[in-house]
Amino acid sequence: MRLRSIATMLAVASISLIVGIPTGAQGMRTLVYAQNVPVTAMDTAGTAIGTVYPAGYEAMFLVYDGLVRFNERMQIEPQLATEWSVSPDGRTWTFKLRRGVVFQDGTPFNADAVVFHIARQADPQQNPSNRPLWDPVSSVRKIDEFTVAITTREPFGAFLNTLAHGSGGVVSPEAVKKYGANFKLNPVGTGPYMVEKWEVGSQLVLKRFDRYWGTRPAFDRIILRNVPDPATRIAMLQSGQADVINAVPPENVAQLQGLPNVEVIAKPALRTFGFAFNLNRPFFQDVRVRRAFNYAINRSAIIKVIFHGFATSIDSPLSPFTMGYAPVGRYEFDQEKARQLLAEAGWKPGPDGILQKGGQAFEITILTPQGMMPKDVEVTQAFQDFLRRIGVRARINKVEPAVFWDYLRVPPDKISWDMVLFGFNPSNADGGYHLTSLFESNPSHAERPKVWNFTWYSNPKVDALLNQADRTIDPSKRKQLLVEAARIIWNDAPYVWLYAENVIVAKRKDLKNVVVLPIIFTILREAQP
Amino acid sequence: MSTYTIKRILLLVLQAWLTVSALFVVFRLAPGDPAVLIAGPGATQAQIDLIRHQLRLDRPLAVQYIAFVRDTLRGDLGISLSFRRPVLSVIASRIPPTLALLATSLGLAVILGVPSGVVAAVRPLSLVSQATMGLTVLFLSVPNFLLGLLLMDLLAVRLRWLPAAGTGGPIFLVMPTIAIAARLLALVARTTRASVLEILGEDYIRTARAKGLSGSTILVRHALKPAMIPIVTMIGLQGGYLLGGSIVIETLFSYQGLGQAMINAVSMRDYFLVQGIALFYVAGFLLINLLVDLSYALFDPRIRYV
Amino acid sequence: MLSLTRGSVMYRQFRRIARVPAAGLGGVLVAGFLMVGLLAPWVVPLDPFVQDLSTALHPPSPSHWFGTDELGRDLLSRVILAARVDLTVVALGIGSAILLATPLGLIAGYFRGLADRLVTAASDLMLTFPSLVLAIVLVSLLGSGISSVVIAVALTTAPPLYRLIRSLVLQIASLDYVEAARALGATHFRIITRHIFPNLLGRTVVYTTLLGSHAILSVTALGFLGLGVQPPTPEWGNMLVSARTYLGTAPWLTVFPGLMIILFILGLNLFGDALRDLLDPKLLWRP
Repeated sequence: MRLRSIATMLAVASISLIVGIPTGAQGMRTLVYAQNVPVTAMDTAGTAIGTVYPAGYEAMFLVYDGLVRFNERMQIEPQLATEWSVSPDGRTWTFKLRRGVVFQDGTPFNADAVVFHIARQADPQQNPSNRPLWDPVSSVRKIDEFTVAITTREPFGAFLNTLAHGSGGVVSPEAVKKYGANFKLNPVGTGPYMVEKWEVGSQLVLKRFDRYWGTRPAFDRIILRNVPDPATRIAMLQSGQADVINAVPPENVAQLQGLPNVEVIAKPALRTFGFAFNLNRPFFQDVRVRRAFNYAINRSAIIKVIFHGFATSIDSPLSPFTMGYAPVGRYEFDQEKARQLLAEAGWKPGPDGILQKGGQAFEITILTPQGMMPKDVEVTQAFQDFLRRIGVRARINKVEPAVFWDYLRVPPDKISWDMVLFGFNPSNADGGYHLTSLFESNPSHAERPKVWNFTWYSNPKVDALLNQADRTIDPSKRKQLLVEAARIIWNDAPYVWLYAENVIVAKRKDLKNVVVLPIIFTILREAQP
Repeated sequence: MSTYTIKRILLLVLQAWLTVSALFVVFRLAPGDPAVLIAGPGATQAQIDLIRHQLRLDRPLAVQYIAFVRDTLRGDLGISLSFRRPVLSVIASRIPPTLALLATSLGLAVILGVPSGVVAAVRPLSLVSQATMGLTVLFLSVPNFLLGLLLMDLLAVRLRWLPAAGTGGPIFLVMPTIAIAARLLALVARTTRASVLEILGEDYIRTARAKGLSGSTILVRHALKPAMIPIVTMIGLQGGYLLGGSIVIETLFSYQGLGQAMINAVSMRDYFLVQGIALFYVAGFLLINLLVDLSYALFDPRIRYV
Repeated sequence: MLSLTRGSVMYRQFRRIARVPAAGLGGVLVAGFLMVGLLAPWVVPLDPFVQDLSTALHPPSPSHWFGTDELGRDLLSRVILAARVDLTVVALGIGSAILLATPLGLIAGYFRGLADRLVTAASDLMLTFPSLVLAIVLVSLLGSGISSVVIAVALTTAPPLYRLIRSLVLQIASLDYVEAARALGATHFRIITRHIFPNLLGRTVVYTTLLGSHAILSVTALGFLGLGVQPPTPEWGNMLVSARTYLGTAPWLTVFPGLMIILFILGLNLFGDALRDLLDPKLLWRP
């Protein structure tokens, strides 16, 4: 009977296809971490921002060790370096290295490896990314087998932050030579876990590195799995398929907290958000208009309703937990004041309620990515409605995350938006890095912005203060300079300042020592079942 | 191999080539510069120019086209920007899960759809067949992503019977399969019912009955076999739905197949990967239709392709 | 033509359809959605765009029948406006497909020759793309927005429609009475408009209804994949995306848009099936 045999064939074929797919190993201590973005490359040099953030760094923090590291409160602690000192001119740093450490490929960790690593990071050819962190380094030399000296061009106040940053992970020189350009897919460090199997884009399976120098890692395996959809990540945690999940939407926190075996970790993060003005637009060159916009928006309502309380209203361009922060001002919600400031700037309501000046209606385009920043589209819609109430008509242009950067990093005459939602995370926890990246004047109007100053903000006083702060080693003096710069920027209002997000991670309750850093990274290297 | 088969395959190759060319044109017309994307946000103009040169984007379009066709023929579909691997190796790793999903969906639809269609045709007034036909209308009206969403909430989140998402053993296939198969099942059942009804009215069935053959023999041997032709045709026409459905459902269930890679690639503007996967979808679609055509001979002895 | 005057053939046929309960239900649903879509700006109880963050995520109540969304907007009003958006996209998409496919199909099927071969080859090429794949590629290239989705619907609907019309023209053109008209010296234009076009109308209408349910599936799927319209414009598929993380706490955000999609497609299916039984009983397949 042909029909029946065909049906049987179909059934058998489908079953064999299913069975052919491997199932997870049992009887091993495995930790599964569901991440919102995939790990795509794991070279400390040259990883592009955007696709790997934060997943790539989280994976790298398991495989690599830095000379120093951040603890949970973002303080610097020894890691591969046991102690260090800085020369009186503030330019040369001497590090004593930990002994008895081996790389995952069996080669020894020593001064030669550190010299190789620092030179590689500092070279813009080999390491095109994170340039503001590494450009200050001028040279590195070996003093003895376990001592190195690193020299910066000028005194560099945030140098230890650079070393603790994800790009500070020390790579095995032998492995880099062996794999060449493919090192990013074959990472070798000195960390507690090493790559076992990697299906790039879907999951990364790490296994315990038995010769790790520190306490023996508690898990046989750690699996980092890419699950872009937040509802699916939550379902996986609830059904026991994942032990840790990141990027939990704020509206799900209460529901997860109600579960007996789940614990939610919510922490104020360093990433601050705002709607950036395109300062090249004539109507935004009046500071009264920019301040009016800042008064028009009800931040606390947005935080309460859209973020369910899991965000912090900011009083500085910097997050309260960034090094160099102090409060510098507030824009309280006051639409009357906003209307008044706009009227002073010459904007009067027209017959349709939309503000007009010189026959031109106040109509703008707001750019936002979808699903790249927490609640991006919702916040933009709320902002649009607040603007409507003061008589500004805004159109939203929602674009996909991948093209978002293309819209920002263009020369001023190619900018297509009037305002854009943006958040910056100083991943070395340093306020100088944050302010310089966003507010230091760009060298040329003919080119793309040097870092993230796509508002084209330019204030010589700010430039001077930031420059001076960069060259100051003494933390308290440095902080003074940064606070002064932050105050000027705050009052110039190149952004509608919004909030600092909360990083929200959920885990199985009995899982211990999961460290969540305010720089949005979840560190699993010390996790205990 | 018969000339018909050879002709069909040649036509398929021609269509594939046209598709490749169409993809080339479409992606070169697309806004956005792949070199800027590859270089990343921190890149300088010099770095972008270098990448553009490496990708041959600075050459005349005709040169690019020839190189593109040559590379495609050699199986070189370029490097995926988001996966940082050759496009072909990304696709190769994604094909087995997608095939498994499509096979189980198709299998489920046929195994449940054909018998319920036959029952509905033979006993049109029974409660079972009325209920079945009513259900099929409902199945046709629920979008697969909505069904998947509700299944996930019920079976994974509330009841915790099934894993919510991911790729792995057979258990991961259950919900995606149901979500994709529902519409197909309904169509198979309805088509089966209609075509069995029509055939049961034909003369030769009456002859068979007059010869004293039992009802079930007539049904299976004489009615069901020719009735398979419209069913197979329908499945062929639904090939596009199957492939499209797998995109949505794989994305919903974080199922690591071709469809999810496609959506990732689209949102990452990973042009080479989108281009490569689109090529594979077209090839798969053409292949389904070829198989459908060739399978006609299986079900109707009168059709011989010579 | 489609005259609905009392006593005409069409009129009697519609009476017959209306008597089948399922078909009647289908007709009522489709007509209802069309009315709501057309009259949306006048029937929404509240402004679908106005937010009130203090009343966000309220469950259904007398003041908000369908509850409120995460920004405190009235969900009923948004669902209604979304009906208008979805229906507009589908209508514009299918309408352009008809405008594109009908003349091409008539000309290609009637005159045959080189033009026929070229257009058919182009249509076959489009058909080799699974429609959702084509739509995804198009929208990702053109950027999100209503016009991109309309173009995607039009371009995925036109080829199958063209194929149907062309094959019908081929059939009808070889019929005796067309030959007779030609022998009597009727012009090509007259033959096409008077003899062929009216005869392919029935099947085309059936097919278009079925294409409509297919198109709404594509549009909502695109919205669900985040490739649809721009916020704050509501669209059923898009509404389901933002509702996802609220499924446990605010299920009404999923229930109502989801129900609308199901009811609208159900209506189109029931109505299309009844039309088919009436006008084209041999048509087993659907797009």
